Amino acid sequence: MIALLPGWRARRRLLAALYVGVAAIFILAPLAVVMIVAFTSASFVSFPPPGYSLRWLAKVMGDAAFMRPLLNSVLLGLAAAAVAAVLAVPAAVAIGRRSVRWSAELEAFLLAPLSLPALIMALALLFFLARFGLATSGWGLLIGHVVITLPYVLRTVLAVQRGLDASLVEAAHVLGATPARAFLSVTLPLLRPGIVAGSLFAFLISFDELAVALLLSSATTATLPVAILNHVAHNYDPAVAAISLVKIVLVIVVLLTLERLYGLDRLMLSRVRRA
Amino acid sequence: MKGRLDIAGVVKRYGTTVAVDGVTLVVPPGSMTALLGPSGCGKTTLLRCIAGLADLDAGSIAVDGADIGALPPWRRGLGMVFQSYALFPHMTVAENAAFGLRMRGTGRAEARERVARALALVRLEGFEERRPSELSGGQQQRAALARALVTEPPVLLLDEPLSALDAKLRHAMRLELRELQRRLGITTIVVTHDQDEAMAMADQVAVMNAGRIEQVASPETVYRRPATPFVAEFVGRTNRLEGRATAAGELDVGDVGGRVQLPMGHGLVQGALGLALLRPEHLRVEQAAGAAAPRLAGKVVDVVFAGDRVEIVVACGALKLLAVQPGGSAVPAPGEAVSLAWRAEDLMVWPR
Repeated sequence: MIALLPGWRARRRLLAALYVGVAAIFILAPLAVVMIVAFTSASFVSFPPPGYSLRWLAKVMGDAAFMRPLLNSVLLGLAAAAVAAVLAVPAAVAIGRRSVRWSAELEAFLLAPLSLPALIMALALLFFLARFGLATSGWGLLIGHVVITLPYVLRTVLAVQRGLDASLVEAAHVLGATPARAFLSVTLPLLRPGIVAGSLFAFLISFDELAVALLLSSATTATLPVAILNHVAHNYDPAVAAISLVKIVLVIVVLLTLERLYGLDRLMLSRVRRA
Repeated sequence: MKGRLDIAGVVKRYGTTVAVDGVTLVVPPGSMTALLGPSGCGKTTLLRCIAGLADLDAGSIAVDGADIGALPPWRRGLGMVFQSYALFPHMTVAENAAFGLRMRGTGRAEARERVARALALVRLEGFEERRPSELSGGQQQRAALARALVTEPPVLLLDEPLSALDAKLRHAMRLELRELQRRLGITTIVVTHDQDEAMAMADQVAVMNAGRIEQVASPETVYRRPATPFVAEFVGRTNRLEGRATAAGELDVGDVGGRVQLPMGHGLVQGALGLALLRPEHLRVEQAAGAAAPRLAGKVVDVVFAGDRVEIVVACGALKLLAVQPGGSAVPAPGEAVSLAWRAEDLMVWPR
């Protein structure tokens, strides 16, 4: 009887599964192809590979043309995330508490890089920083990436800040905490999930960013996306697939580490359970 | 005894609205004063001014003669329990309770001992390592109380401390708070919109309306001899009679189509508009129209049995008056013609 009455509920569930499945294939299939090609034994890109080997992986891991940019990207990502967090946290607290005038305008301004084409911003930064001789110094790259990643930290921290009971800080004040101590012992620990999640986003955005890096990096400061682009422009070999695999694995390792340390779903929900 | 609180001429404005409009209040050491009033009357703002969470626009606040009105909250050394309790969710109960001591740099051993004593005071022993989210509402309230008391502040501020609890717990905590306050002899200000709560807990009730204090007195005085019609109507229930004073010392109440005798010394000149208020429990419902005493004839509209009392609604002309009698007394049936009587001195009269 039950089998004869699948009904709209079962059909809806089937449709949902189909939808999710198709979406997953669209997202994951190209990645899977890249990861498989990375292990090819051929000296050209073909799918499926005629045979398997680690030669391309070994080649890129030993190639300074890839490893130097990879290190640059990691350092840049860490620095950009750290600076963005240091700037975004006080801004988020001020905006969230509405302790400054124009807090809505300030928020819109700081989030603006999200809706600005990265290439336009990169050009603007290039012209601007060139005046100070910083255009390709590495500092320009950092400044550019801080501007781009700041909105991600700001948004996640702001979401947590807005969820905080304002009387928590007031209670700390009445109990004898100066503003600085109340910030360190109450606000900051409660914002931590948002700061960690936001900085993680910031790192990942910086790690993958191309437009600003392309215009503001030099031969010594080139990031991994720039190096990959340069390589692809001149050769079409499986080295690109191999370095892509290295990059994907690195990101997965970062995510797994954070998952172990904090629990990612809790971070992404970025909300502190209220007392 | 320590902890005398003097509030003098306090004014607090938000933009063009005046939240607290020149409040002067003395809280004797070791006593409990309730700030009672409807929402928006300024009672919470006044409490925040005392705590230092809102800046004064005028006036002064002094504890034992020392003006604290200009100090930031962290230098006032007062205790406060917030309406939401505001327990730090990332700390255990013990860490919450120790927070004030930590800010004062109290030694670790002494802090542990004082936290244990404070938690014992509110009967939260054994809950030291729990997080606030693992406590019931009543336990959270006790934890917030322990946190406020651990530094032994001269004055304790309670903002609607019982409003988040269910009715049964609220009644129990009311007595418990009162008992604790007496035992510690700590000067306490409690903000509440619940007149029963204010009456049950406080030595002195300050009834607030529109940023001002209408009356400060003992609960009994506030109830029996309200200074203003607002106080009379906010504290307890009343029946309203409005009319014009006559030459014979009566109030001609058009709505009931009759005259009621005014008490001695009512202060109304002939022809003046007056407002008279009567408490429901001062009205006697009589089947036969007796002699003497001020009274009004009417017809019973509704009889509501409420356990320990019976509420009788009587229509007198266009007005419906409420009389409350002890449960178990003889009650008339709806539709019955009755006579409402009261003692002349129970009529509370003000000029309009």
